[in-house]
Amino acid sequence: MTAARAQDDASIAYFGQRSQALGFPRSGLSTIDADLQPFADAVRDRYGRIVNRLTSVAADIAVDAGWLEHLVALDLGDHITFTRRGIEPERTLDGFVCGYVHNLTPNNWRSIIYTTTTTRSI
Amino acid sequence: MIGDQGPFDPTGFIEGDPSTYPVPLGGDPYAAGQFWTLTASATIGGDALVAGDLLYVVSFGRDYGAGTYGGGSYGWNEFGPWDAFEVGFRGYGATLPAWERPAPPYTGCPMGDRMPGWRIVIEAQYLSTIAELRRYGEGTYGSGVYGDTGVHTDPAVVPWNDITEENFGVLINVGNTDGNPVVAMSEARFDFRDAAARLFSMTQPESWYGPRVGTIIRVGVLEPSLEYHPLFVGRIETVNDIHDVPPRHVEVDAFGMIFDTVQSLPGWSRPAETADVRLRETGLASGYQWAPPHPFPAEPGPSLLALPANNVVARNALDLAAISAQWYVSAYPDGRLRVRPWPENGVGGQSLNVADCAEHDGETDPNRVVFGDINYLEDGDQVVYGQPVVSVFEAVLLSPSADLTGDMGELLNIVDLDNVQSGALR
Repeated sequence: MTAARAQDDASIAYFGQRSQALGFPRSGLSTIDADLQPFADAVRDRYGRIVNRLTSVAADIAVDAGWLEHLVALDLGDHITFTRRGIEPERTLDGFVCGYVHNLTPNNWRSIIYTTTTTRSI
Repeated sequence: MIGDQGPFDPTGFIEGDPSTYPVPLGGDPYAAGQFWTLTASATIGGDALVAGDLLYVVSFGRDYGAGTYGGGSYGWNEFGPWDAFEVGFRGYGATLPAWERPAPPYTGCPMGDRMPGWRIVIEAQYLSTIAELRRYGEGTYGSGVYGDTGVHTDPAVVPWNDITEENFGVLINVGNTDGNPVVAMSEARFDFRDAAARLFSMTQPESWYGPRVGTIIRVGVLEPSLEYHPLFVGRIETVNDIHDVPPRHVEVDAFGMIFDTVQSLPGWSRPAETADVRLRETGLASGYQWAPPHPFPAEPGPSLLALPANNVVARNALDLAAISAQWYVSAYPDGRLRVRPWPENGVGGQSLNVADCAEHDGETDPNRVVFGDINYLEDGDQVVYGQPVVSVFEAVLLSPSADLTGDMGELLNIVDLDNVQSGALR
């Protein structure tokens, strides 16, 4: 049997075993044997320590008209950095846009931008 | 007069020299919506144009010192009249295939006072008059479909029709909420107040010349510079005409083009091949035509194992082939399918810098007060473990709310993979 497993022991110690998310575990792949373990390692490295997440950000041009030029060009995979101000030192969460909802009505444009965080929690 | 101003030979055209500009019919002043049809190729405003493309007059305001005292109005007069010294020209690719053709300037509706100069354009692709339909005796044998209503004719030549209503509502849903490599189908809901029932008809022959179920529909916005940005392109799935209480209200739901790949492929099998070939062939088998530019991230893609014969749905086979290559299938905002690396690696795209308030201290502009409503879920107290900010962003966007969670919903610290040779999961 050819199969690949990658695990993050430090993350397991913190959070317990987590193997079911984002459609994983995956079976029936056409990935050749030589690529299977590097694939598993890459997913573990990307998602093995992401607990504190920025799941969505609301955009409203009535709040900040600066959104407009970004909303017209919004696309999956756009990089996003979220800063929570007023704490020292300032902290950020980085991630990518993985989905969005645009709501356009006369004189307003509101959006919800869903993100997948890349900043590790531990 | 706005609209078509006739032909124009751009051979002697020089930007900045009004003596070489096309002139409106009847000696009228320049105004928004006037256009000329080019009779020769030219590069204008950086756009390479060919004969048959259109040239629109535009204006972005009178500069200080331009013109003579009293010779115009200071500031920006959005729709004209404009003097020659305050206009420029922007090309429009009328000869492009329909899927690359932007919405024409000044179509659609203004988006409102908060977005001065911006326009929303909702268009549907159909033949709007009987003159556009093919009739008996026209064309050559096999070159089209007689009496076709636009849904099945060559999509490259079927025109886009502006169906924007003043009272619009558009809800667009793209992608998913968690970064899953299987991307949900893009959807859009269009709300129209169609008082005169001009858009959708139940009866023939009116329904032949209008949008209906199956029609391609798109929505985009035009910047004040007239640059077009598509937001959604899809096919009308349902039309809900609500007329219990006037005015007539029409809800139109449309699905993105990934929906076209939801086709059964009985006994589908593939030899060992590279991922780009697997995806291309699977898409073609479902009837989807991959559109240029090249929709795959690498040429050639990684090698994949042979697939034994099986009954599959093309969309599922596409996703499985993509994931096998560490890719995922999604769509450009203009509707074309594309395949990109998964997880996203930050190649390309824009960068958004978002904050929960403009300035923590010293907020002076009452119009800029933002309630930074951060919604914590689970153990959200340990919200941010990132790196301190070491640079000052030039443009920070303010978000009225952000959802932060700590629920381990996307945590994968054990990753199991099996391929078609290894059988079922352990």
